[in-house]
Order: sequence, then C-alpha cells, then structure tokens
Amino acid sequence: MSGSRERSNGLAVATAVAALPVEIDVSNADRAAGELFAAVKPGVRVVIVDMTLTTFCDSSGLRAIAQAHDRAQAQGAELRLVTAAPGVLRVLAVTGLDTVPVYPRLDEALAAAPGATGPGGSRRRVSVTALERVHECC
Amino acid sequence: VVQFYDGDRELATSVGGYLAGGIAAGDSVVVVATHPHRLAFEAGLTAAGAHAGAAGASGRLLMLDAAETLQGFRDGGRLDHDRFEAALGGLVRRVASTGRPVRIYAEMVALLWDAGQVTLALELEELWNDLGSRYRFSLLCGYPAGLLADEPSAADIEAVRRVHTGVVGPQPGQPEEKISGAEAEDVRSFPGVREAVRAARHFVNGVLRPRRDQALAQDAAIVTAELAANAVLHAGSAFTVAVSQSPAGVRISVWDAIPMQAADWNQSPMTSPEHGLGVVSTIASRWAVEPLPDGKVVWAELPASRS
Repeated sequence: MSGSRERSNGLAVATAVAALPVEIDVSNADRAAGELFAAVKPGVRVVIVDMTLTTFCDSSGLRAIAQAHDRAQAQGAELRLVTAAPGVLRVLAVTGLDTVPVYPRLDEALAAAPGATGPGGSRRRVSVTALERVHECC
Repeated sequence: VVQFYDGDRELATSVGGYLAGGIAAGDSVVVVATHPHRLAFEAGLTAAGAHAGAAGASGRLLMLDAAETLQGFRDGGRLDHDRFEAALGGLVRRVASTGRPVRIYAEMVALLWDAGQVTLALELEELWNDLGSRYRFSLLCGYPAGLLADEPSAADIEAVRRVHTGVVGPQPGQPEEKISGAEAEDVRSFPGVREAVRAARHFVNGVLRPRRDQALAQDAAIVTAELAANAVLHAGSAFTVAVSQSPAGVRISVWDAIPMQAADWNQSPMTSPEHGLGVVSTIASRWAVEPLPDGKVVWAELPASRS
C-alpha cells in the first residue's frame, strides 16, 4: 500500500490520494483505514481513494471508507472513489455506499472540478454510468 | 474435504477408507503423507483387501513423503510457486491424463501448521485451491485436530456431516462413509485468525472458478468474507467453510465452535452492517443461522446467473 500523496491542481485545491491494496478484508482493513484517515488532513479539499488496483473490498473496508467520507465531509472536503472493478462496484451497490462519487480512472478523479457531482452530489446515487451523464451535462 | 484427526489409529481407519474406496472404484490415488502414516495406510489397505502393491505397480497408487515433497518447493520461509507447479501440478496433470478420477490425500499443510508456519500453511492451501480450479480431483487434507485453536467438537462435525456428505471422519462401529470426488461439495477448515478469512475466500474462488459465473463468484466472495470474518471477529473461533453446488446456484456454509447466542436469533444484530451480515442478507436469496450441538452454522444461498 502506498502512502497518501498530495497534489495541487491549477485551482490550488489541495488533493490527497490514498491508494488502497489489491484485496481489503478484516486482515488489513485497519491499515487501510489508517491510510485513509491520514489523507483527510486539514487543508485538504479533495480526498481521492484510489482503488485502481483493488479487486475485492469487504464491509470492513467499506466501513473505513465511509468513516473517511464522514471525516472529509465534516471538514468540508470531498471524497472520491476510483474503481472500475466489478467486485468493488457490486459491494458498493449492495451497501449503498455508491452515493459517494465513483470515477473509473484516477486521472478523471483528479481532473474533476471540486463538487463536480453537483450540490449535494455526495448524497446522490452516482454510478459510473450516471457519472458519465453528469459529465455530459456539466 | 477436510479430515480432522486426533490419533494415528483413527486417521489410518478413516483415511484408509477414503484410499481403499478410491482403489476399489478404479480411481488414481495419490498419498502425500509422513512415513509412519504411509506405513499405516498401506497396512490398512491390505487389511481392507485393497492390494496396495498391485495398485502401486499399475501406477494407480502413488505414495510420496510429505516432508520431502514439501521440501521440494519450500525455500526457507517461502514457498516457490513455480516449483510447486512443477512438482504437484505436474503430478496431478500426469495422473489426471489417464482419464480416471483422481483422489489425493495430503499432509503438507498439516506439517506447516505443526511447525507454526501459519502464513505458509495458508499459502499452500491457496496453491492447492489454484490447482483444484484447473484440474478435477478430490483432495482430502489432514489436520491434526489439536492444531485448531477452537476445534469443532465431534458433535458439530457429526451434525455438519449430515448436511455435507463430503466430510469424512472416524465413525467407530459404522461403515466408512462413501466419498465420491465428483460431488459438488468442497469443505475446508481454517484457524481463527484474520488472515484465514482471506484464505477462505480464495478457497471458495477456486472452487467456483470452473463455473465461469463472474457475478456469482463475486457474490460468493463477499458472502464468504463476511461469514468468515464473523466467525473470527465475533466468535473468535476456528471455522469451517463448505461450498455446495448445483446448476441452480451455490450454498456457502460457515460453521464455528461458538454456540448460538440469543442475539443471533434477533434480526437486528444479524442484519446490521456492523456484522457485515447486512450485506449477506442483501445478496443471498436465502440465509440462516442454525444451532449445532456445540456451535453454529451460518449459511447463505446464491442463485446462478442466468446465462
């Protein structure tokens, strides 16, 4: 698992990226939570949870993401997920956590403007396909 | 299929029955066991009327030393996957190429447990799982029962055996249970450690891989992870996973040695996301918690995808 790294885009929005491992379950969810919470630092406006490599995530991993999401919201930051893995999308749908914006690729998550999913976007159900529609209309 | 054993005598009886059954049915039989166990099996086979010598001479019975075979692909603190593939993969391929059903009894995982090499033992399980997804064979793994921290009690094993006929064990005074390797029933036991949850999921993945039903495999992975995590985290128990298959779907059962508690009866704790079982109840077409004489079993059914 790589650590979080911070980036600044042209809009001077501090972005933190936390990369998660290939498989997340009870054997490593605590570590994943540590990575995520470390990324939600004061001053960070966008937290990107990079699950590009992740093929499996259980409820303990999702709990960590949901907690990171709540922490991010509490400090006015936005949390974005990056995944195109069917297994991960499935568990997101089942748990209802697909209300968090999901991007299929890291570069798209980085490129999206803050609040790209619109007002209240993080409470809206956003699937990958729905997201494409959002991009089209914005 | 998993074999619990306490004493060598019980082992010789039950595993001997598994092996003799294979020889009698014309299967190819491979034994990877310790020297004393091989001697006991040979004696048992002879006593059962199965001529080990003749089967050996015709290439239908192959006896390998567990420690020696393990050494062939163990490189200090790690397992050499290529060498495992060359040795065991090559062996299974060769034996399977005869077209006869293949029955394997192996003790290498048990040796690693014995040596306290938990990570390696789980890794070897995975190598077997991978092999099992590529070749059709019936695998019986020996586990000295004392190695499982909260081993399932005899009564539990008995109760589960009634449901899952793939489990063999010593049954004094009863005829040996017949095992048919082609039955779509796979059972494996795991110690009560967090790492075992991943091993259990990979085991189920391997079992279901030949179905090529990605949606089903995904859901099975989720269900297995949640049920196994529940056993390890909430019951703190060693657990056993059984996968039953039919064309219509899959049933995954996870049982542990911790008795069912009142809370298990109530819907709320079991369906709360805290237990991860909320996920299970969402995915599964049917699921239940059932008491066993000395523990409980949680099972969930998943329908096959319509293709």
